[in-house]
Parts: sequence; structure tokens; C-alpha cells
Amino acid sequence: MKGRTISHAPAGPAPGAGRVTPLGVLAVAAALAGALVPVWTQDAPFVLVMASHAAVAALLAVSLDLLTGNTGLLSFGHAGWFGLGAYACGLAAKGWSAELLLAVPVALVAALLLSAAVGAILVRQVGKAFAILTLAFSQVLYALVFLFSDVTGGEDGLQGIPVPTFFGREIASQEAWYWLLYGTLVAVLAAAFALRRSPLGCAWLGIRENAERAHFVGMHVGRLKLYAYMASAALAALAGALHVLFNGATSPETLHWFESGKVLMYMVLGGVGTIVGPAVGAVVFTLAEETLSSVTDAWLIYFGALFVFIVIVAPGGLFGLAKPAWRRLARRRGEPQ
Amino acid sequence: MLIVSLMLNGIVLGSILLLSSLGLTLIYGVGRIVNFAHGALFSVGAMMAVWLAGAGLGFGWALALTLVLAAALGVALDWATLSRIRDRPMVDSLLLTFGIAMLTTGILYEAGGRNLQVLVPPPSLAGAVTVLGATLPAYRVFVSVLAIVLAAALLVFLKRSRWGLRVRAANDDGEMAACLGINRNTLMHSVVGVSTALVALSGAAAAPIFNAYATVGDKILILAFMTVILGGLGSLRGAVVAAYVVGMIIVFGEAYTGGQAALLMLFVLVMLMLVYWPRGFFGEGRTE
Amino acid sequence: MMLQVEDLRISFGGLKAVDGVSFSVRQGSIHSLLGPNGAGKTTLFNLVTGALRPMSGTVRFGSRDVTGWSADRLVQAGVVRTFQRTSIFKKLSALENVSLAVRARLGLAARLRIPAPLRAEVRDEAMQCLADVGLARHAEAEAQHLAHGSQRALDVAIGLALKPTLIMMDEPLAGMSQGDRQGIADLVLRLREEKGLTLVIVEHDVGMVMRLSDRITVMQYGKVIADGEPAEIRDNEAVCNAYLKGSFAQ
Repeated sequence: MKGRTISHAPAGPAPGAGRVTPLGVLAVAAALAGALVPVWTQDAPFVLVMASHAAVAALLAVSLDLLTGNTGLLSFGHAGWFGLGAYACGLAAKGWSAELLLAVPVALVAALLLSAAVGAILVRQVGKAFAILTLAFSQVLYALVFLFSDVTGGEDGLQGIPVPTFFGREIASQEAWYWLLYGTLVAVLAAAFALRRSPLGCAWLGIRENAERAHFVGMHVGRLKLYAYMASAALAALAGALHVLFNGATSPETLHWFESGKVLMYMVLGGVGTIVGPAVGAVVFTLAEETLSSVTDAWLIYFGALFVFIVIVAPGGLFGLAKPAWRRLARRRGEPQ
Repeated sequence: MLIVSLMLNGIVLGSILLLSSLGLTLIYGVGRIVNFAHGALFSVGAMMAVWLAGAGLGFGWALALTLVLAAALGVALDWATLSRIRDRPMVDSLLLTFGIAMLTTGILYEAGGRNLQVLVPPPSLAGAVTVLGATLPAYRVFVSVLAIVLAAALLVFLKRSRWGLRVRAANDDGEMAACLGINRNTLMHSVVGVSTALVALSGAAAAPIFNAYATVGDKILILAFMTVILGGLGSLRGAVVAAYVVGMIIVFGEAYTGGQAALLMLFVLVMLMLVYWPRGFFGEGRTE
Repeated sequence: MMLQVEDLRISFGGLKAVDGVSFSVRQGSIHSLLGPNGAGKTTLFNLVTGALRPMSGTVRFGSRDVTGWSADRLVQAGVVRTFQRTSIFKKLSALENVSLAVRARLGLAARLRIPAPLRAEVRDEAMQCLADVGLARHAEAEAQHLAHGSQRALDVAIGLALKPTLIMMDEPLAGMSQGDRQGIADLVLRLREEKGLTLVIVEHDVGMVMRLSDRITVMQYGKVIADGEPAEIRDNEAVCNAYLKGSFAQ
């Protein structure tokens, strides 16, 4: 998995040969560095916790990018799926089994079912109506947490989640958790890249580019958009499930529109559609927020101001700005410009 | 007389929503902008009124000054941020107003919005009134009347004044309006100003009912959006009817199912509307 | 008869945009629709290609009644349309543009994986379509970087990937330079000659239309005022009147 972007093909004229790119090397180096975080944070365990939170945030950001980057649909309520996954998994862990391989799928199934129902109507709406409805839906989920507060714990949140097990063994150490979260992130990134290159990924790009033509070419645009919506919801729920198992608790705040705004920010800042960009954006921002919020209560102001500034000044996001450099990195060695 | 009491409260909520939603409809119709900051501006109005009243101003003056200051805020906001992204794709305006919402809420938090603040209506508006056999706080009657009067005034102004003519032209067909020499940029300044003023005033006027804190407008934002969608994006008539429909649903829903389920019911209704009547109550909604 | 339109009608408010239009298109022919702006030809085009539903009248494709069929159903039946403003997938390569359409036709659009032999088949088909429109050497170029005329050709190539028997072209020459126009005109003829396609074209360029078409239907104010071979149309009194006096302000 770590060597996913390098293939040592024999030298020759066949396409795909010589696929060692500067980007590929960078990616592997970054992946390895990320895996070694527990090693170089041995003296500062709280940094490892921060890194774990960052990995979850990155997962969430990638899930939103799966929707927006592929179909152009912008969801303003994505945190709702995160929260749904968290509560579903948490409740399953408390009430049924704390085995990871049992509790997490509960969250995934819940997200898939609900997103299929809601998404079927939502994705057929115009972009603006879609945006509004995603916000509204997340608010509905938020309200539902309070409605069923005897089950969900209401304002106090869901607490007392037992230590999860993996194949029967307890996942207790911070290092094990980090590697679990990080490994999931890397796997998801790899899958997202593979998806981008698949026929489905190409179809999604077509829809994002020119939905009308996609329709006139005979693609079932509504159905394909729904797939993207469901996949992104399921992935967000996965992030939520891992989050609640890692933390041992969750609260309604995870569903708040602030959180949806944060995910949007990660994606917009990192660059919509670049898959890796949103992940990087999430990591940068989560680390910044956790350090900043210990300094000031007013981080929301800074965040909001930065958001506004970024949108006005640089709509392509960091990666949009860095596109020329990005392209050079991605160019194959020896390929003409 | 529970039903009557609920209906009256539904009218109260509907009137507040009416005042809040008209501006949202106008901003969408004229500028094709979905204003996610609308709820935050409601909160701004509520907190501004509390602050002004606390600074010694009389209740009426506090409301009036909130209206004026909010109008100025709206114009400033449009000039500083929204006008910079006029010709950008739709996503940018969605993101921008969302960012403004976060920024504004953050500021309100720091300005004392973490705590519930109370605005006490003047004694002349205290007490209860009996309407059709049910009792209602007099203040709620006042708020409803105020909202309806202002909404009516806006609609009349839109119909009769030259400004209103330009707004309606731009609402109908922006490009044609530009061809007719209507300066859409300055027109948007005024539209955002009016919209902000109205929603802030509704927040201020509603403060004695909902109180004032940084996120009081969150729920109003969603309700206002639901109103605008039900009525049809950009349809003023639709917004008028939808505001009261939503008000009734929320009030009755909260009474019979307790608390949060009303919002779920409303959401389901909106979803059904979108499947069967996507262009809103009067079929005037824009589908782009 | 490949395509038979009978007494098609649609009104918008009080305006009778298409007011009882009938014409027939023979298989393997190039049939053009002429008329000034406002004559109703674009509306007629939309009625036949599934973008609008007619209020009355029928459209027959071969032996089937396809009145009111949606665009994707028509595509399944072999009727494809191109667009007035070039409608392609700008950020994809030319080859990917066409491959997308091929996969859509084969029902493979939503697959996660396609086995290698099938993938090769898709690629070969896509390359063939590109070759048919003369874009084979631009296969790997990003669509938005192609010249204007080439983008229009790509638009046609995408349509070809759907293996149509009838292609409806909405002002294929619009916005093209003189040189590009000739290129598109040649393409239209090649499609008829080499691939045996039937083409229905909506156009303004009267000269080109006269040169290309086997048959022309002329519209004005929502009605057909003339229908026949180019030579007949040229001498037709009603058409001449319309051109000289009425609404043919070219």
C-alpha cells in the first residue's frame, strides 16, 4: 500500500512504464513520515493525540471531497454524517458489541441507508437547493440527538463507551490507535485515487464538467450523483465511528454547522478535487485549531475571517494556487511538457 | 382552546419568519445569492437591541436604531465581500456567506453571546390579551403586527417606488435589467442593506420571546430557508404564504410531538414538495 | 423513411412556436431546417430531440413512435444530437471524452473496474470515432486546449460514440470561422458517405445548406413555408419573399 504510486515496470515504450514521478517519491516519503509519528512524539503524548485527531479530520475531509470533487455538489451539512456515524457506532458499542469489526459496520450501514433515502431526492436538486437542504438535514439530525436524549445523552453527549476490541484484542495503546487511524486514512486515500482512475471516477468527472452533456450521452446522472453522495456519507460515518471509539465519547457538537463549516474549509483550502489537498488542509487546520484554542476562545473569528479571505482571494485553494508546481511534480520523468 | 392558542402562536412565528424571509428571497432573486449568514444577522439584531436597551435607550429607539445600523452593516458587508465575487461561480457565494456566518457568530460569542441575554419589553406591551377566546402575551401581538406592517410596507414599496421597480426588474431578469442601465452593483448594496435591516429587526423584535445569544438565529436560518424553498426560490408571494405554513407546522409540531420533531416533520414536508412541486407554492420558483 | 414528423405543435403562453410542422427525412440523406431567428426551428429541434414535449403531433423514427421520448431513450434508439455551443468535457482529454460516451453506451459508465480486453475495445472504438472526425492525432490533448473547430469536431465524435443512425445537429456552423466551416461541412458529407448516417441539420448559413443538403425544409413563424430539394427552394417564391422582405434579416 505504501508503494502504491511507484511501479517498477521494465524499461520500454509501453505506456505506464517509468512511472516514477517526483510526486510519487514525495508521497511515499510523506506516508512513511506519517507512519513514524508515534516514534518521534514519544516524549509528547498529547501531540500523538492531536495527530490522531488530525487523521480523523483528514478522513472526513477526503469524504467530502469524494462528493464535491467528483460531482461538483457542495454539502453544507457534512458533519451530520460524521455525527450520525459517531452516535450509531457509539450506541452499537455500548449496547451490542465493542468489537471494531461489528460496531463500525453499524455506522456504515446506517449512513448508507439514510443517505440512499435522503440523497435520492437531494441530488436531483439544483446546486443551491442542494446546499440549503444539506444544511437543513444536518440541523434535523442535530435536533434528533436532543429529541432522543434519553438514548443519546442529549446535551451531555454519549458517554461511557467501552474500550473497543479488534479481533477480540483490546485497542488500548495510543500508538495502536494512531496506526489504526492513520492506516485507515492511507487506505482510503489509495482507494480514492484508484476510484478517480476508474470508469466511475471518470464518469463523475464528466458530470462535474458538463452534467448536461453527460445526460445526453446516456449516463444516468442522478444515479451516479447518488452513488457519490452515499459513498461520501459512508466515509464520513466511518470517520465518525472511529472518532467515537477513539474518544470514548461524543457530543451533539460534532453535528453542528460549525463543524460542517470546518470540513468545507479543509476542502476549499486544500483544493477541491485534489483528494490529497483536503487531507492536508484538515491536518494543518486541526493542528492549528488545537494549539490555537488553548490560546484563545475566539478561534471561530479567526477561522471565519480566514475562510472569507480565502474565498475572496483564492478560490482554487492552496492547491489551486500551487497548481503549476503541482503539475511539474506530477509530470513523469523524461516526459516532454 | 388549545387549537386557537396554537394557531395564534403559529401566526406570531409566521409573522417573524415573514419578516426574516422576505430579505432572503430578495437577495436570492436579485443577486442569485444564498445567504447563509442570514441567521447570524438575526442574532446580530437581537444582541444589538439588547445592548442598545442596556445602554439606556428606550425600547422603541433600540429597535429603530437596530434597523438603521443593520442596514448600514448590510451595505458594508455587500461592498466589502459579496461585491468582490459577483461574477464568480455559485459555489463561491455559498462558501463566502457561510464564512461570514461563522465570523459573525464568532464575534457575537466574544461580545457576550455565550450567555443568554434578556430583552424586557416596555410595560406598555406587557400583560396578556384575549383573542378569539385564547390568551396571548400582548407583546406577541405587537411583534406580529410590526412584522406584518413592515412586510406590507416593503411589498408596497417594491410595487410603487422606482427602487422597487428596479429590484423587481432585476429579480425577473438580471441581464435584461443590466441592459436597461440598472446598476446591479449598487442595487445589490441596497438590497442586502434592506434584507439585513429586516432580519436584524426581526431578531430584535423577537428578542423578548427568543432571548438574545450568539446562535439564536440558527434555527431561524433553517426555517427561513425552508420557507423560501416552499414558497419557491425568488417568489415573494410564495414566501408570504410559506412563512405562515412553516410557522403553523412548527408550532403545532412542537405542541403535539414535543420539541425537536417538528423540524423533522418540516424537513420531510419540504422534501416531498421538492419531489412533486419543485417550483414552490405558486410555481414561480427558479430552478437554476 | 428514417424520421417522420407529423403536425407537431407547441405554444409558449400565447406564442405558437411550432404550429403544425410536418416533414420527412429519408434514410442516408442530409436534411436541413432553414429559417430566420424566431421561425421555430430550434424549438422544433428540441421537440424532436427530447428536450421539450410537444403539445400535439407525432414524431416517428423508423417504425417507432418516439413522440415525447427523453434524450436518453432516444440515444438508446439511435438518435443523437449535437449542441449549438460546443458541449464537451473540457478538462478531459479528447480520447477520454469519447471513451466516456462509449462506456456509457455499453452500460459501463458506473463500473469500478473494466477487464483489460474490454478496456482495449473501448479504446479502439473511441480512437475510431476520433479518426472519423479527423482528430486521431489529438487523442491525448486536453479538450479545452483544442482549436475551436476541433472542439466542435470532438462534440460530433462524442455523438458518434453512441453509434447513432440519425444525428441531429443544432447549428453546427455557428461561431465558426470560414475555414472551420468548410471543415465541418466536409465532416458532415463524410459522415453521410462513409458511415451511412442520416443527418438533420438546423442552420443559418444558407449557402452551406444549399451545397450540403439533399432536402431542405424552410420555416417561418412556426410553420413550414417550403419543403424540397435545394434547387426548388432557391426558386421558391415564398422563400424568396421571406428572404427579401420579411424576417430573414441576414
